Amino acid sequence: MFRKLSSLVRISKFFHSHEDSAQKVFRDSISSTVKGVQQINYVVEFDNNLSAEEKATQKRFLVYRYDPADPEDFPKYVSYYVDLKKIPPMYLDAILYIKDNYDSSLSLRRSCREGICGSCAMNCDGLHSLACIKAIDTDLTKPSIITPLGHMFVVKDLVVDMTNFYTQYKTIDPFLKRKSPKPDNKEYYQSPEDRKKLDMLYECVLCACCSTSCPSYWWHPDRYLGPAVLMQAYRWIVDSRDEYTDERLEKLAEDMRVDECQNIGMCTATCPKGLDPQKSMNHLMKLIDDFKERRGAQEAL
Amino acid sequence: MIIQNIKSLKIYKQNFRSSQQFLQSTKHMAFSPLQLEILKFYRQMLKFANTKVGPSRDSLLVYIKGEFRKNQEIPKRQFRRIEYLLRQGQNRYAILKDGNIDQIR
Repeated sequence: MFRKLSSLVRISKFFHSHEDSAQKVFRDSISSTVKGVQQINYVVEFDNNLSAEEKATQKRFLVYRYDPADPEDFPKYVSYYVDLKKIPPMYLDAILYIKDNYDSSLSLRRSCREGICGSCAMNCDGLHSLACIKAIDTDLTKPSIITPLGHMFVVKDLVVDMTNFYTQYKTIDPFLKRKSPKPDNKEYYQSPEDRKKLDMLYECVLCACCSTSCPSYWWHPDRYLGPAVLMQAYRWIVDSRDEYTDERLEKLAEDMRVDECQNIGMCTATCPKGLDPQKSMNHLMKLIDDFKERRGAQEAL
Repeated sequence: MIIQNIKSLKIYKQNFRSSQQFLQSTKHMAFSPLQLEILKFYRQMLKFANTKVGPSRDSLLVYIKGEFRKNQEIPKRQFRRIEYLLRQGQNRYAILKDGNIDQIR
């Protein structure tokens, strides 16, 4: 199914030189299945005393609200009506408008408002994304559903507990490790071809959108490292300046925490920066298999 | 028949007395798994506090005991809230353990 879609994507690229429309076809086909999964259990109307005509011209936002520290609170969706003409086009602008004008107790993480820090990762209309670079769907007949990242413990409203994600990232040693000092004591040299290998890997912002949309990660968050972390592990293995490649591969090979990838593909579909964790993970598994063969051959000697 | 009945009555009485004694000795029902987890975490925190010396140890003990006593009245059915507080506590413990933190006042 994915192969057929990818051929569709390649054909449409000839007619629209936009990357966006090609990705949009892929995304729409996926988000339609994801949207069906969301079950809205409890909707609370935010008291606005709006008439029906006003509501018709404004966009309805169903925002997930829950305060675990409050003993009487329970998870619910609160509906807010926002006039889309008053706000810039992104989801983050809508949420901040709600926070400024309607309900200032709404908690969310956000920092750069340009998609580079990775703080505002949340589920907007079915797909995980960065709220600051995702445009609001301007269809006024459908409500917009905003929830926190999936299968993560909620700290409050849209803020989510990321400690497991960060500790997993720490385990792969995401820094340059060298055995020999700098040549001429100046800098680590790298050819343009080697630098090109890092493209589409270094842009990762660690927003956790991909990991939290991977069903494999949902079922085994403690065992499986997740696409984000594994893509970064691949980034350090493929970096020509790093000299601990074999040790890194050995660490990944022994723990069997890479094998949970079932090639589902949600990570690539979801990535708000347009990266491809699935491809990187497949390359990584191939490298690990090669390493295991080499190690087996060496031990046989 | 009568002798067998008397024997079984004796055994029953013996068993009954011992279970009563057991209940009296423990004075409460068995802990639920969640309660056991929290007690385990409490012991872990106390052991951690005992590794420190001097005023940092005292202030840390006051802080830990205060945090636990603050929430001790939560009914044991409110799993969501209890688990949330336990997770927060474990996150704070990880920070205290790893960072070079001396005191909490």
